[in-house]
Amino acid sequence: MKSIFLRTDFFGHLNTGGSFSHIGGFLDGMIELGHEMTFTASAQCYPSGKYDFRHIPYPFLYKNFPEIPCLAYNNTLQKKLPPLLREIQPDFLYQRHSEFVYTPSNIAKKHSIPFILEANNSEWWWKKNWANLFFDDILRRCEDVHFHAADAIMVVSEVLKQDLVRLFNLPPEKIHVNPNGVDVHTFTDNIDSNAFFASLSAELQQRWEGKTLCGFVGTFGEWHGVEVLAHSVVHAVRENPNIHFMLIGDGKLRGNVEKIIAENNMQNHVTLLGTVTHHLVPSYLSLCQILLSPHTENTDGTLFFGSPTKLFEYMGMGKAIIASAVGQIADIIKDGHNGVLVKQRNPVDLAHAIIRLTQEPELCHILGKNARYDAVTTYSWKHNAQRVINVVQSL
Amino acid sequence: MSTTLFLISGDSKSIIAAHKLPHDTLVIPFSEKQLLSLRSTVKFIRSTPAHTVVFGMKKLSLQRYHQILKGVLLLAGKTSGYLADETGERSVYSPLHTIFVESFILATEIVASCGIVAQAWIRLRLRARTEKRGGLS
Repeated sequence: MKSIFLRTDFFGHLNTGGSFSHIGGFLDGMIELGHEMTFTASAQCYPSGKYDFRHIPYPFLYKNFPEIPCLAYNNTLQKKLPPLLREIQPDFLYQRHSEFVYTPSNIAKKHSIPFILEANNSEWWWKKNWANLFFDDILRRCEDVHFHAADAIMVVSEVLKQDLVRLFNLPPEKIHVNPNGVDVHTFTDNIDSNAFFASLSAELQQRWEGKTLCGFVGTFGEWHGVEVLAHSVVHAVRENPNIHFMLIGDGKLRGNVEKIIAENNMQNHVTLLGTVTHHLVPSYLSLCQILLSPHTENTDGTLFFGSPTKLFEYMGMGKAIIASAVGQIADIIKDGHNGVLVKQRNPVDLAHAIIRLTQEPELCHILGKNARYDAVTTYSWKHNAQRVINVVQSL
Repeated sequence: MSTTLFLISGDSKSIIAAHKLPHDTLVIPFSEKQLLSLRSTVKFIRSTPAHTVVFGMKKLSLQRYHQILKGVLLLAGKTSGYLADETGERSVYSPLHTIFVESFILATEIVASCGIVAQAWIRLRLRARTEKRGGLS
């Protein structure tokens, strides 16, 4: 099959984060399955030549006000997308949903091409709760017409499916759950961690030598549970001073995390690595005995609707995982089989699980092995892409 | 002449090297979100004693808020500065250029933005109506 993948958000100069892994992984999965993919975006965000990339830049004029460039991008797409559709003649058009972009569904329908929309959230809900939203009514209407016009919507979790059905009165049969995935060749259990450790700075080697490392990677968002993790450090270290926490990433709540760690005088037991180049993340994770995913329900009391890429990457690493029993995580991690589930927002429970696993290396080994097996057999990007193809073929 | 680099994105060392900024350049992290509170941002920039103010970023062409940033420099009473990226590209600020050229670019953008919002408002209503009748116009 031939398809065009539209990335329509304005991401500026960024080229790291969950969306980049997700899109790259999906494209790789499609190509691995033998499909032809053309990728469009407002800037090149993958190594040149990796994909058939078509540059559709954001309009030059709209640069000084938030949200307007995204609205204006609809006009850009109306000009640039039809010629591309005529050239490529794709079997379906696939868009990663982004704020204020509502024309691709219209364009696809005019060209009689099936339109699949990948929605990782409702941007309207997201911005209302976690960001600044200026054109509330317009964004809500954009999503309403776009969601209704799509032939199928791929969402990452059952919770998100129910949210979209409720918020936009969508028919449930049109929404398909497709959890995120992992590149099982990159996030793997056969990384030479000793060689990587030897390549680290003397300071890091000294800090981590002989320690039981517990790792976390994420963008320090509200839903990542990083504050809970920071509070758990003191409880875990009190029981086992040999435990050391390695936190990879940066973001909104990093300052809060630093404050909690400093207040508890735990600086010697935590290393905040900040943003790490994506290709080095597996090597850092390979140094850890335990990997943490302490996600929380949303701050407004609604259920956690995500499908954390990090969870699947942890699974690919074949490490023991401790995760909160929220949303899809509680479906994927089977307590005692491929990880350990803990209560969300409970630093003591998290610390107890960490201490327990540090005392049971054999259990860690079994959990990691099972997690890796599940990643390879169910949650690789190839499987993710196949689920999309199945939906397209059913239309 | 003192220089302050307000780092919006990218690597400060690369920007300093690419633009041959003085070694004692003061680097201050700066978030785009600070521009939402224009008055406090102007006050903040005004409080920096630096003669030359540089807004640093990874790539100039992918950075939003060019005119707003220059407007902030103007309102803060700065006479010298520029927007600079890691590749060595820069967009020079001058008070006169900001008043007589950049302000017109901004005004054009404001008018065009109103048009874009109105267009979206109408299109979305029409689409919602026609699609409920079955079939796109």
